[in-house]
Amino acid sequence: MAFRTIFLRRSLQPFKHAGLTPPRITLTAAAHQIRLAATANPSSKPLDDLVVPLPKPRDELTTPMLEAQRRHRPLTPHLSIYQPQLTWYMSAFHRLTGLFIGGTLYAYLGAYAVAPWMGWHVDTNTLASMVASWPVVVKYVGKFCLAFPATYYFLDTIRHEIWNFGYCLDLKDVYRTGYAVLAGTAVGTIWLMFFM
Amino acid sequence: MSLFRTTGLRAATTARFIAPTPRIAAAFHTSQKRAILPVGPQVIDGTVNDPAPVPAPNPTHGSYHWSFERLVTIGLVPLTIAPFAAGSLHPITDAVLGATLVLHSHIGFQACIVDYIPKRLYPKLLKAARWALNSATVLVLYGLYEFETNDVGITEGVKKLWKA
Repeated sequence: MAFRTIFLRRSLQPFKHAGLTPPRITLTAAAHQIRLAATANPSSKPLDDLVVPLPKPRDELTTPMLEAQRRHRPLTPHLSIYQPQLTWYMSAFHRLTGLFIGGTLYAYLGAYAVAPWMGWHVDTNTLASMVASWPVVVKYVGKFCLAFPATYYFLDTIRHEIWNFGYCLDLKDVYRTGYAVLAGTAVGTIWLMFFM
Repeated sequence: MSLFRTTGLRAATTARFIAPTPRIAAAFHTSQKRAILPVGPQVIDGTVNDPAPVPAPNPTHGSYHWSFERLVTIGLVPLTIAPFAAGSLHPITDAVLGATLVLHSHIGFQACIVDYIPKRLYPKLLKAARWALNSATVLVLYGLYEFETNDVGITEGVKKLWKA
């Protein structure tokens, strides 16, 4: 252990009590400095007049530098490191299913709107005959792909509206309603797929 | 850094900053860098010490928008259950269901645009996205009208596809 003072520290006293010899004290560079603050020559002028303050950094010069630096900095991880929890998983799934259902609605009605000009046939009769020609498994996969997101979104929307009016906002109720939505989604999807 | 101004220092007369070529050091990382998306545009309005601007409150975009969204959402719940309860819907009820669905979807897409395209960083993209959504909604509402007029309607259409 290198000591930076020529004085024996109080913390070394236990060594003496234990009968051990304290380690050899080495003088470092700091110990060689002679601090003459108290004994400085009072007539020596301070060096203040030789020090010119730096110019204030101008924002129009530093801001582009900062922007350029930030462009090369890595993004702090967020989605990849947050502990998986029912709360934010369900929230993300709410958005995903909503976008899927809304996107499907927009895609179909938009296609129906431009079909005469594009030469498409997307009326329900054509689509029904196309679906009828699918194998049974594909039909049920298709039913699942519509029923599952629609049921989940419908039930989670009800949960959101319950929150919007101020109910079930503490964590326990959030989890309870969340599990209820998941159970309802399972039941509703099976009902829509096999009993409708 | 020297505290003394050297005589050779040239006063910065031009306010241009030419960004140096990036020198990304291959530093040691303990964990793998997993970036989902590249870093977006870095825009600083004013200086770093200026507070973030607070947009002026506007009830049309705030309170009234929220209340309208609630009305649409809550109105959709019985409208969606009705086809299952009644079996088939009167064409006008079906059209109201369709229009409310499109309205709800429009508000939802708007929320996604506002969330993922901040105005300060992507002003033009935000404008383009809003314009595209509004055009798409107009087209979709026209398509809904055509669908209800020429075809069987949403309830019957889904039923037909389901039982095909």
